[in-house]
Amino acid sequence: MTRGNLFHRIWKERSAYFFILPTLIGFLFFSLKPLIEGIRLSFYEANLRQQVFIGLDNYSKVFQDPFFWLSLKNTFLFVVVLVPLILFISLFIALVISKLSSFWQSFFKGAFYLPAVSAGVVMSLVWLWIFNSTYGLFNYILSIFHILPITWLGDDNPARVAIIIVVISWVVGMKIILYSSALAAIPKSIYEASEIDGANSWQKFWNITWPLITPMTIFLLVTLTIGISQIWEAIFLLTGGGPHYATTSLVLRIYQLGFLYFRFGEASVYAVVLLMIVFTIAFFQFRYLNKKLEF
Amino acid sequence: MAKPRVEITFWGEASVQFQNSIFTEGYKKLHPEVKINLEEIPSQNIREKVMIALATGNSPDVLGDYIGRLGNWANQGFLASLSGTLSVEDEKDFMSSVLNQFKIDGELFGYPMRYWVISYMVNKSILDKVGIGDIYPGTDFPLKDWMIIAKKVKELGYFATCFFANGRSGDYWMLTNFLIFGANLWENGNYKETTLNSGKGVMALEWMIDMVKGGYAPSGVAGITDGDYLNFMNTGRSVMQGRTPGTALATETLFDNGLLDYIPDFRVVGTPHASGILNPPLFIGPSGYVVFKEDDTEKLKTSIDFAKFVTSKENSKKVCEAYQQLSARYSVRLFEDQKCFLVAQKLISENGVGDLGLSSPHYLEVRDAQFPELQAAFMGKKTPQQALDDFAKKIRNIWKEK
Amino acid sequence: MKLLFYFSLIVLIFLAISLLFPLYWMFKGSFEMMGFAMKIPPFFLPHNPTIQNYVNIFIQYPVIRWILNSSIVAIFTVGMSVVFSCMAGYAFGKKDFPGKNILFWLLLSTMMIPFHITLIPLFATMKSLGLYDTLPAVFLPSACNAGGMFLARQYMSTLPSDILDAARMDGAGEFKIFTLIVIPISKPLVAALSIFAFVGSWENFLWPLIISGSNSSRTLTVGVATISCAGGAMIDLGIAMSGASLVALPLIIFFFMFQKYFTKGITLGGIKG
Repeated sequence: MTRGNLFHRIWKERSAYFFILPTLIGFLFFSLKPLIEGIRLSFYEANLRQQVFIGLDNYSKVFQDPFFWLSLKNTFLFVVVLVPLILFISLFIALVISKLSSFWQSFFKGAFYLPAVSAGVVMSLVWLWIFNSTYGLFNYILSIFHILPITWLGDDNPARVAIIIVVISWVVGMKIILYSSALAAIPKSIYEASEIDGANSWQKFWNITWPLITPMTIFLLVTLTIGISQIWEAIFLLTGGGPHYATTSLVLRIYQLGFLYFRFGEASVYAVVLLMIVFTIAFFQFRYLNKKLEF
Repeated sequence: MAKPRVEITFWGEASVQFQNSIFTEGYKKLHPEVKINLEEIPSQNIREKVMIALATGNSPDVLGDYIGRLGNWANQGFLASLSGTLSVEDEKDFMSSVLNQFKIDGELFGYPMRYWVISYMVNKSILDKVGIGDIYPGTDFPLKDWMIIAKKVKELGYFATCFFANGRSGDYWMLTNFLIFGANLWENGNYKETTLNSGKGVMALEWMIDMVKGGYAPSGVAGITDGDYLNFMNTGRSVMQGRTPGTALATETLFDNGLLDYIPDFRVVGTPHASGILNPPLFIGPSGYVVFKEDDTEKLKTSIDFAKFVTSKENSKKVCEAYQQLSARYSVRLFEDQKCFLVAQKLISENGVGDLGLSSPHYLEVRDAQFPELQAAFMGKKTPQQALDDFAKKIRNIWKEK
Repeated sequence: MKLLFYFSLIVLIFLAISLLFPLYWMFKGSFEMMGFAMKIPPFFLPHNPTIQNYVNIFIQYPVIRWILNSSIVAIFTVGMSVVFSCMAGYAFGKKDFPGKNILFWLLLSTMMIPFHITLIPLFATMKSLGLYDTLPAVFLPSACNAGGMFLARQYMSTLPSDILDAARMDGAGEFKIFTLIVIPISKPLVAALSIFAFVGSWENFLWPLIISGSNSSRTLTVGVATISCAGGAMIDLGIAMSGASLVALPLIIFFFMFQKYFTKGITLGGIKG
């Protein structure tokens, strides 16, 4: 492509640039500097007083730190479990309620969405009470069924399950709403036509529904991956990364390094690594599913 | 009205009990030419805000906070030295054990205001119920007596005490249990090597784990939070633990708010001690006010003056009463009619103050390093010796960092 | 299949009730005095219900001011974010221009950086712009949110191009096409973007806490946190819960106002024409 051609194309599509201008300006003012700073600091030993350039030493230090691999593993665990689980649950629920009357649809959407509006310190107090081993609600219910109490936050895997439950409750509502609107967009006529051809429920789903909601699936998959890789609040408030580091995620470690120990350089290394991993995953998710879109 | 000649920024803890505007308005009356910008910040977010301010080259002029967080800024050299700014009588008026925590290498970096003290307390109402009310402990509390009480209350379904390891703060509550066996974080003011993994410390941790196994304390310690720790006694499920004497004054509130269905009788007693161990000291945690370094000498002078005003006798009295804490000044006598505070003060004068290293460098990191190791020990992942040794290793690594 | 459907429905009802439970507990707790909220065995209905907590909050603290601030921030966030997202989403979804992919992934990557890392540089920027302790400082960073742009792109990419091309051939300008054709058929998108922007802005805690100083720019979430803690152990749970309920209430109302737009979907699944 010659230079003249490029400028010609830019001029021809100049309106597009105006459309993205506000977002771009916002990006330049509020996102570019943090992005550059975050990457830059990863090459420095930085605390509140001073910054010393040490190049890749930070990286080798972090890669030799067992806490890095631990938090990487935990984050990976959460992503691998939560992303498919939330996608599946929200799609399933959206499918089920799509058959209901408008009133019931709103009721269920509201019921699943509302937990998201109350995330925060007070809600985690409620959750802490629910998960309390001695007098918490969960174990109280279990005792009614004569099941032994579980030390929710006091044991590795129960603590992870507790975090998973809390995150699902905070996140699933929005996804259901989005999938619902994607499902509602499919004209009934397509289903009716396939019924004439003798398609059953499963075939209808797999051959019609699933392909047609792919753009939404892409969006949810990518944003979920990005979001879950960064969960912090639920972990900090409920387990503090414990017990004994069982739920320490990458972002929690970033918080510890940056905000508690003032080791900004190392915190930035974590952030850069996280950025690269998530970017790569998102990129391939996008490519793979976009190919599926071309039918 | 005259245009303000000096403008200073004051960051204080937001609190339900006390509004910091009392200080700013009081000072304005005396010095109308000074403008004070007040910001009240939730205490769990103060450190973040100050850190972000410092990281971007800003800072408040006067800051009121707990010593554990103030020590951070002092150790990194952000605070102005206050040595020599107190009059002789003022300096004598501050309790030495408190004032010393506001000094680093002899340099004063803050003015103390109030302090909490952790004393051991028992719910006497439960002891009465169980029938041993007349042998409740006094200021000398041998561990064997503790075990007698524990066994008796267990029969009626109460826990003796509560341990926790899922804490974001409150290390002093758990450390009080270590004091029972004569073990503490530090010895002789050496903050580079912990002594918690000594034989005594290991015995203490082993004892705690045994108590949980024996059903004298709730299980799942690794998941119990500092809030739960207090709640167990607040809801009458456990009988004794270390906490602030002020709780004995708040029992009616506990009843009114439905946590308990009777008004309990909380008593301050001596901290339990194993045989061969002397009566343990008490932990105290002061809060105070500091001034940040400042090039503008006028601002600096005003800030120091304001900080002095805030920690003056009259203001000190008001604040301490609101927080139900003791004043760092000898001359401010509070709660004189309250047995709980009198006993606590007696215990301090007899047994001294425990050293938490609150203003040592890395105090917050040390506190953070404790809980995961305790969790591992209570979960059975590591033996008490291993857990405490790993804790000691972490502290050595923390010092190697800088 | 019918059996599976009804079974799923039962599971769903059970799930819905379970998920609503913590929220109900918080509302219930706001009408009780502190200790009853967390008692076991639990009281399922408010015990000695009282509005004392709400009275305390409104009398003792400038809650009205906080609600006003939160509202202003929310209005601006929603307005700016929806408009900018739709514009950018339209460009990325329907147009083809040099640098499109690079710009798209650049903007998307802003979502992949943990907020704690962006906090300090962002604070420095705001301070240097002289916007510390102002309301614009609270809503400006969220106005250019990449997630909204992404959703808009997905949505717009499935809009029928022929209508747009026809309008162009009739000589309509790009902006006219956008405002008169694209937006009207994007109502569900606008509804979804609005609700996400509103919830995000109303619930936002950390950034407003850092960038605000006094009550002039303090939002509701920050204000509630200020009165919930007592610098130590026991917080007034009643006030905390009523504060949190106040935060949640507008979000619930807003949802029920806008939710009817969700039930009508339009092409978000690749159907042409």
